[in-house]
Amino acid sequence: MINKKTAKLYKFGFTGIIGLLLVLLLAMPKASFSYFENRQLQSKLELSWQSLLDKSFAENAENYVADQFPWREHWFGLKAFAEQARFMTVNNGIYLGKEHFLFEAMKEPSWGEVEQYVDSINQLIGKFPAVHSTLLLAPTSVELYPQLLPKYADSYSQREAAERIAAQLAAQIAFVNGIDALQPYTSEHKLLYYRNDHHWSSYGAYLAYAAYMEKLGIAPLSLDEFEISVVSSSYRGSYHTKGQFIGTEADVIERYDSGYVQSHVYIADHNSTMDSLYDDSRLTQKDQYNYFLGGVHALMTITNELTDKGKEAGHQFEIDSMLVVKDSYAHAFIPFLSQHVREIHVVDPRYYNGSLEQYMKEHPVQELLLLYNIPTFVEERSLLGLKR
Amino acid sequence: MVFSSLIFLIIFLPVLLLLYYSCPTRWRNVVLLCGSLVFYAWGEPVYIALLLLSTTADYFFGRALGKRQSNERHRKWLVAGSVLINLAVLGFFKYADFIIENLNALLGSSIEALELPLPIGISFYTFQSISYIVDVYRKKVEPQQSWLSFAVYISLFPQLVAGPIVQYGTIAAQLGKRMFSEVQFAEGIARFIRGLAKKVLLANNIGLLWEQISSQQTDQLAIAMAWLGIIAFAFQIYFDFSGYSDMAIGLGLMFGFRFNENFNLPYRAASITEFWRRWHISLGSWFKEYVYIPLGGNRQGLLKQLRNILIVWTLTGIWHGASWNFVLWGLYFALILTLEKLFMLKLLARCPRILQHSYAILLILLGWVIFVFEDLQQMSGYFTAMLGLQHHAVWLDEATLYQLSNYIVLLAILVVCAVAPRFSVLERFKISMTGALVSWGVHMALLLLCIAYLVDASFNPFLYFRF
Repeated sequence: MINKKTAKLYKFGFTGIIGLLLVLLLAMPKASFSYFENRQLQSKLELSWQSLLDKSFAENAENYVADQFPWREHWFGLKAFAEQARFMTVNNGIYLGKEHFLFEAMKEPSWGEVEQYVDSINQLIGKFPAVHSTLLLAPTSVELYPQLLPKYADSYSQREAAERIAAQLAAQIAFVNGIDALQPYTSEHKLLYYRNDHHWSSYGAYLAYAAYMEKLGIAPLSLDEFEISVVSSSYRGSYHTKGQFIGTEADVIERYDSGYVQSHVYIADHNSTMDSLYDDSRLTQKDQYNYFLGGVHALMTITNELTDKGKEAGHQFEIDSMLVVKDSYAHAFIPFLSQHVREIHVVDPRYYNGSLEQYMKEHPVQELLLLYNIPTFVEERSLLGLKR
Repeated sequence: MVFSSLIFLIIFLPVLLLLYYSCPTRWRNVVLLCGSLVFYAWGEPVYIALLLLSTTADYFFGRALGKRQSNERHRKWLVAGSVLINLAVLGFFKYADFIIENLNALLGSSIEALELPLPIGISFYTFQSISYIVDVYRKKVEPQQSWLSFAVYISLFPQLVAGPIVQYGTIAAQLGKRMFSEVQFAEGIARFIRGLAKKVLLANNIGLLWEQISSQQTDQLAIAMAWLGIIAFAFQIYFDFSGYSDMAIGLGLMFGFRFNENFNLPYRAASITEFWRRWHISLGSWFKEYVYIPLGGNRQGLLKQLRNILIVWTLTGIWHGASWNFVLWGLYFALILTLEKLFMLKLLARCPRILQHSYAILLILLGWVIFVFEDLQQMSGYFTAMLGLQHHAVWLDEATLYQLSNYIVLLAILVVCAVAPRFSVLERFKISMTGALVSWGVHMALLLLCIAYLVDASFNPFLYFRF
């Protein structure tokens, strides 16, 4: 009930909250980029008759208020907290699983489009009969830890998807099913995936690498040939960002070093070089997975040479040149691959503007690896730049 | 602009309140009109001309009706002219494409659709204009002499976009002179916050469940899931719409206006007749006042009354949207209301309460299926799923259990809010000072929570793309 005394409280409470937010909105410094969401924010408003009439001003102003909202990220947390308080086990499409695992469910692919896509991959690779080609499909965490999903939650079977794609693949293309490579190890204490991110851990990538090497008839390095070091124990990745759940645990990022090879990385995107497969500066940022290869690039060439230690151990490169067409799952994988390949070209077709066919003609390689996680492969279908 | 947006909440509203209360009383109508026009123009700058033109026309019609008190024939022409113009405007913008589409289907012609965007609030403000003109004609109200006051009546931003349909007589006096009090202002705030919470916390969240269920293939739905879906929609539309009305009424109070109530816990109804006395009351009374009664209402025999019910409900249906399913929806209720009038109500009165409520809820839910699917094929598909008539129907599946486990708390809250049971302990607590303070705290917490959900709606992580 509202009486004369509480009426004042309502008046001051309400106008105080909205008034204060207005003042803060105007007074607080404007952000132009959200590291948290990894996107540009609306930070400017231009007023003109044109923008008023075509309603773009209204739209931009609404985005502006939302994007520059005072203490924006704290409000996300409050919402996520309220969702969790009402026993919601999914927020922004991310499932809160057991044992601090977060998951993203896979939807049923539109098979007609996937089949067309696989056909065009077959055709493209058919033009390069001299190149030995392999498709490695990696599962995402939801496929391997289904028992950790919230009760009754469902995800489309990635095994079914992978097998269906494999069946349609041209005989020329070898297939490695990442599910078979990783599944036997899911009960191990060592995690194959980050719990807060959509990527596999270095250990998960190692298992897939071992399976791939066996497919090529090359002996993979054994685990005890690597020195494993923890480079971060504060990693909270994309699932954490999207899901915003409280009470999650940070992940550990490990790095595997054999000491046999020294890598030189050339990044064509901005014509720069790195003398390591790892970028330490990324560990201080939000998305620490970018530590591997320094994040996403359209085109990289990696040149590997044997170190003294490698020479002493009698280590040798089995493959001279290779092209990896990939999504970001390759980033944790390539350090292992580098143990066996002298020159690796890495193309991410989602960002590469040129034609893959053209690139392959200009840069003949011995070996081709297509490395994707299953949801990205079926959903983005970007491999050939068909949309361009 | 909509109330449940950040730009309304932290820019438009505080700025307008500041201007409104810092200027002298006689200037407040000017501030309110300007504010309302900005509010309207935000979504559709072009149609502001239509709004002003129609307002001005009806203003002059009203004055002319006032002057020619002696000549009855002239007055008839004036009222008919104004009503026809309003209906023509509404008909053109809302139904032209629907008529064209049906003509094309019927005659095999290929007239091109106009594809005009619907002017916001046109269904509401044309009805308000008509109520004014007809009431002036009936001499129930005095014609408004001030263009400004009349323009404020038509364009008043709280009710401009989605009602309630305020009949002129309700606020005629307040247009000229309003009482302001701190308690009324505070009541407005509380009402607005409750409405905002209904929309943002309840309707939007249960809407996500309906969205998920309705986007699935209907032949994949378990029977329980189909029912869960339409229940979710029933909650969504009620809390969305009544929340909007609450916000409108609350804002009205904050600016010194008192509108009539628009909803009265409709899901507590024990019959469809009662449901329609509790649901969108302002629309029901408009049709009663300006269609049903002029047609003779119930005073010219049963046959005429049934005809009138049929007309009113066909119109009520089509008012909700230019599509056949809305006509069907109106006819569906016309049929039920007729049956209730003939014998069902008497029959129901002899049943236990629980049966009466189940009857009403069941028919309301089936009604929502007709309402929500514009595509008749989808509608019948959904009915098929609800009745378990598809090929391999199951009662309950894992997916339904998963949704239930996620939404169980929200569903419980929705039931409580929709039925609003009264506990005398709680009522007594509410009037105590502690109760008043707790109630204030709850309102403020709800406001903050609503802001959090609204800010989160902009949360849009691009995890893979940066270009």
